[in-house]
Amino acid sequence: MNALAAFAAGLVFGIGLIVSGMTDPGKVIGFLDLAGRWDPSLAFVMGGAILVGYFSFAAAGKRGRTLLGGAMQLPKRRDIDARLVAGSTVFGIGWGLAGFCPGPALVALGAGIDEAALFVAAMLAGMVIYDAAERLIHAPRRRAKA
Amino acid sequence: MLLVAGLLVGLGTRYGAGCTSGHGVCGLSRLSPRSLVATGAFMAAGIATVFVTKHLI
Repeated sequence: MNALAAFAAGLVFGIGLIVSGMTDPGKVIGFLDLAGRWDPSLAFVMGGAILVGYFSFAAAGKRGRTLLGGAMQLPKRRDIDARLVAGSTVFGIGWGLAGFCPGPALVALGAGIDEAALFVAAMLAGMVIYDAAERLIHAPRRRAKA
Repeated sequence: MLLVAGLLVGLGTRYGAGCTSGHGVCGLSRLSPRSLVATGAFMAAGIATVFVTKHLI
């Protein structure tokens, strides 16, 4: 049942990304191109999504358990650190270069678009490199503790 | 170019702990200050990058 709910949520999310135009890199770059022929429509997509999300998260926050009875897991961190800003900036540069971000890239990959396949492969490599670097940095300390 | 972009998005998503959907939609929906800062950072970086690639190069 949990897997089914996850599948349904992914399906709705993916359809939303396609209908809204988020899976079209040209449209995303048009949205970011303030100095050119700016296309503000994706701001409305984000605004609409936030409106739906606001009420959904507010309802979720009042419940101790999910509708299916699982533990409610909502992010708790509220601190702002350099990692958050630096990581988001690196993310933004990549987003501006390709016009793809993770969700829409996966949808475009599913649609069989070659560019998306290349992008997703590189994105996964980026995540693996991050994990490897984290392990390398934190490994000596962990070993010392053990 | 796509490979460089993908690599940056992959690293940035993990390092910044979120993406357009994670911080931009879900985080702002929860009125999270972390996500507001993250969304501001990736929007500014995206706009600056497009300005450089479309108007300067």
